[in-house]
Amino acid sequence: MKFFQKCCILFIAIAVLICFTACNFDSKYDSEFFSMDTIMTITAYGSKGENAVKAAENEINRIDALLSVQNKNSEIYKLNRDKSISAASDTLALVNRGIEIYTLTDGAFDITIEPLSRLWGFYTGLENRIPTQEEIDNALKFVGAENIKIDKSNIILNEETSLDLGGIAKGYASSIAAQILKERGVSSAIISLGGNIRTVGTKPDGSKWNIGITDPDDNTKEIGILSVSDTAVVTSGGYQRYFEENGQIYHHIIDTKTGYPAKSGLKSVTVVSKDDTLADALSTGLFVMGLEKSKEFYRKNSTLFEAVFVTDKNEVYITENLKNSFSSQQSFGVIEI
Amino acid sequence: MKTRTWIIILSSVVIVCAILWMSILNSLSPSKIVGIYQDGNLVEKIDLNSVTYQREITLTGEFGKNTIYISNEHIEMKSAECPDKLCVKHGELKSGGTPIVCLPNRIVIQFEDDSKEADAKTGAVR
Amino acid sequence: MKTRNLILTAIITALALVAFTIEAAIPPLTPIYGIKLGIANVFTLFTLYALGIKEAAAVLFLRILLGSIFTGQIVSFIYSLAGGILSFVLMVLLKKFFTLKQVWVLSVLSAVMHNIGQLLAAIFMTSSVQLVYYLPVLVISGIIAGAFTGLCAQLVLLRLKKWSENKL
Repeated sequence: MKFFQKCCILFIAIAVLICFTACNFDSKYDSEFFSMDTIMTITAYGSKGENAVKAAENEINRIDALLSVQNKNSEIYKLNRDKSISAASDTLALVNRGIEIYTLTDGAFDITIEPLSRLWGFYTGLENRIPTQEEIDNALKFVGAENIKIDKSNIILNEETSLDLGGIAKGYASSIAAQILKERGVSSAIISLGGNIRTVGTKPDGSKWNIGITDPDDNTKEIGILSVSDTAVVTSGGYQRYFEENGQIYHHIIDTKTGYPAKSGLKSVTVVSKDDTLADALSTGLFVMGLEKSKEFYRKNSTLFEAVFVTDKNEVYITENLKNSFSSQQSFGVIEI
Repeated sequence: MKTRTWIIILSSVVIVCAILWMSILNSLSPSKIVGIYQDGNLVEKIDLNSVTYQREITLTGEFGKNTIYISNEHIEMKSAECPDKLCVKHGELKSGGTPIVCLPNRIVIQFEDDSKEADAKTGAVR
Repeated sequence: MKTRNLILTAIITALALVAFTIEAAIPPLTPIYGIKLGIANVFTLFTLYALGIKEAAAVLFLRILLGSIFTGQIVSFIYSLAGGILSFVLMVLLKKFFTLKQVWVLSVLSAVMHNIGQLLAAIFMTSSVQLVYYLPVLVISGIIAGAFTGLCAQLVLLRLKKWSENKL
């Protein structure tokens, strides 16, 4: 009887404690750093957060040093200069992935875009300008993943072809960072590599992460919120980098079929996928494809990804399986499988 | 354990629950976004503020039809063919409030929290 | 089971059914599921003390099954069963800690458990976690209803003390 009485009191005490203290004992570690030409933040919860975040940060810097187009010591820089290198495993894997997604998207996503981006001046140190049709036609001859040959660990390019992995490097980096955090015992973290979001697990309280999608017309606002766990969320939009000339806006997402900034009727595309690299590449690829082609593409590949589209008319479309995880103040259409 | 101890414990549980219930009623978000669920699946999500004309939604379950009435003022279960009709008795929901439930046809009408705050933002300008 | 127990179980089950059916005919006080007196619980409690675990289980589960059929509310079967199983297990486990004068306490605990079970089943069936909001109300209603039905059972048991001590 005494024992039972004690148990009861203990139980009630615990119940009351749970009722009145909604605090969580999880510690949190934040890190903000500059890499890959952008600001990155990693926030990890739990006691193992600090070491894991530092390891992830080192890894991202290592990948940046391999893949940067601008850094004179990077493998990609050397490849673009010498047109042939024996590549490290990360570079090789990512180039292979780039070719794979090129085929998947029928060329809408292309890692051989470097000459075009250079012409339009979308690299640091260059002036933005409108190239002549002749320059574009010349550059287009050597654009396309067919110009990359891979022989064991050697990557060989056509004489005028150059690579820019900027469209998938951050996705790749976030997948590696997420993997490191998990391996080191972090079960709750959020990674932002310059707006490429990757969530690890759920929030410490078990609820999903809420990811705001930037309003293309006003960067301080959001068009809606996605509730997700353990996925990558990546947005590509013409508003992110552009220049204006003669009243025309020229943005940085170039259609490798025309050589001009993609005029696909979209303001931004957000891709949600478990595969960070794919999400990063597809956000660009779908932007180039436009809404109608993207719908078709989604119906064929609905197991790979989900997406949110914002059109030039500010209409919002989301893919079917996101229906229950998207909340927005405005109305939106659903793209069915 | 003495009966008196039990009376004390039980009455304190009643008090705690009463406080909890009051705080739940108070904390219900003054949201105007309402979700209609059947079998746990979202049927429709409606922002009552943006409802311009009154309309009805009819859902059919194993136990007949439920008719939901929506105007920009409120939402209510107008009629039900299920045996108990408790959902109809629940009355109108204006903003916030405990969910309307129809257990026989497994329908739930509840207000959704629209004050979600983003943990991170995708697509920020690089 | 002795023949006498068998007959008594049958009679009590019938009485419980009558009580259940009458209660089901009374319109509910509130639009919240699960707030009701649960008169039928008196019979389960009485049987548990007067006859035994097996007999009480028979009274409870037969009443749930037949009650759902008689009142035409097959739906409520799942919810009643979820609540019934949880509360019955609790009663059997805790029975030895309560004297005959504390039957009402046991009844309160089991009634609260019954409501929690029903709520869990409802959350499971509708997959709407928001139904948890009803928990405090259901706990309070469980305590009041449990105390009432428990006291009824307790008074009967005390009056029939000799009976119940000799196992009838």
